[in-house]
Amino acid sequence: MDDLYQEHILDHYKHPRNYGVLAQCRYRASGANASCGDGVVLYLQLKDDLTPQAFRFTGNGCALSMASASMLTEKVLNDRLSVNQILALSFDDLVQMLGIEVSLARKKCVMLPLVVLQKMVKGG
Amino acid sequence: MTLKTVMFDVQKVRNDFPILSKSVHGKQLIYLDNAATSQKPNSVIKAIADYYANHNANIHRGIHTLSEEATQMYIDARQRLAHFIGTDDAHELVFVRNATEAINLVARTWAEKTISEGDYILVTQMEHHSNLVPWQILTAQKKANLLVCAVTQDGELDLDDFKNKLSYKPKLVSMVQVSNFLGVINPVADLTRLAHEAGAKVLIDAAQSVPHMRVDVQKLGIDFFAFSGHKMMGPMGIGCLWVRRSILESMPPFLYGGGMIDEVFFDKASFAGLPDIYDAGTPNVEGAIGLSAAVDYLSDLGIEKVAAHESELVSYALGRLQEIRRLRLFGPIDHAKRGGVIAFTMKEAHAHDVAQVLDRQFGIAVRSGHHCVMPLHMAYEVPATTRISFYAYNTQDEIDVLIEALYVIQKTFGG
Repeated sequence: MDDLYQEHILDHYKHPRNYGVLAQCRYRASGANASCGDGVVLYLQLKDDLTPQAFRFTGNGCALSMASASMLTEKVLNDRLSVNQILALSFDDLVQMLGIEVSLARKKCVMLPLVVLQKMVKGG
Repeated sequence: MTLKTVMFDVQKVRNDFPILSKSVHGKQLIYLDNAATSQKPNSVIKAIADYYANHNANIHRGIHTLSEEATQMYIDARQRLAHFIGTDDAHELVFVRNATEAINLVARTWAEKTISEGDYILVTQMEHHSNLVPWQILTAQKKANLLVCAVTQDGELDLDDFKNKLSYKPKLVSMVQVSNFLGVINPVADLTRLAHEAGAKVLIDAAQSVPHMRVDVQKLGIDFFAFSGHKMMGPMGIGCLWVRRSILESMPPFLYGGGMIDEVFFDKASFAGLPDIYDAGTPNVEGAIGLSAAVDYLSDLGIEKVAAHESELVSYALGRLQEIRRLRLFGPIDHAKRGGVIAFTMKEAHAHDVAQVLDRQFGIAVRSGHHCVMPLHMAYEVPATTRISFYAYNTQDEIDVLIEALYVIQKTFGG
């Protein structure tokens, strides 16, 4: 295929990890790219020590936005990121996470789940 | 089975367009984004270069030779454009930047003067943002009302709703001739007759029609007509607004300054007559000349032949696209009701992914998104569609490559 749509990207798109709603969660937020129709809802539950307990998402969108959301949930859970660490994540971190080159035209797709996540936890 | 186009020699046409021999990502360019902008033949590129190499000067204000030449070329260009759309009164043709500017000009001059509180303006659900937002702003400013005629699920104008909304006696009906999303061709002559009977003036957004079919503003009977040069093999930055003389003569100016004045004192000014009154500042002379060259090219080719060629391509493409399962087409299924624009969605892959793969893997240029028709996309509950759009230089072989590519995309993203 394409160097953009590598195996792992398509895999996360077709079989997203942590996909589904979370009935009990401290944080819940939705966001979308109106012009292209990528949309996600994020659900985040924290433990007493404020490390992530569960992180799920639902949504519809292009392969990059869905793969980004899927991989982001894994990253937050596997690396046990704190709220401060989540807020420190950048576009470059996502690009590294995805392992592909993201063009200017597709930046918004990739950034969507992170933008929603950071806005969500910033509130406190 | 291969459909052979007997209208003209497509290969010969393609040879006139230097950009078509480009490769993208190692693949032969297949340019299917003509609704966004068209490619330019050598004759247009040369006309612009020739103007700057041999004739450039500011127009109207100089006595010297170059100024006279440039002025005459500009006047001739205006005459050519007017003739192309069916009038010999060149002073009815205003040069603007593009169709968007043309529509804004009408909103800011004629409509500003004519529309009062409580009045109605009628548009349709299939309008491009450029023929929607200016009217939203104007009606809000004037405390007037914006009516929106419905589009059917099949992608045609709802004629019953149109007649219904005419009963509100709108002062203006502003609508698109060929939709850049649905591809549907609206029956403008009939709709204009109905609108006039209801007392309305009619503005036609002709951005997607003039490049692809014969238009005659007299036969259509309309009042305002807007189109862009860059969609009809002309350069960017030039467009036209045609206005019926009886209306144009009483329209206020749009932009003020040099070129459109008659006498200027420190405290006041009087204005020039047509056409200069709408040429404030130095016009886009190179653009007018380039567009005139484009008109010459299209006339030599035969605009009816271009239309017939595109109709064949659309018919073929619709047939092949309908074979792809879980692919949803927008607009009427009858190719006779359509211009050369086809938008679709695929279940397996989002429009952006489709466009990306088509470009990177197959060298095919399409557009994905809402195509500046966001409200109608929302009404159809699709945030984004993929759109292909044809012109005189596209071929059936290119459609074949597109279809194969779509099957590959379906397999890759869906499997």
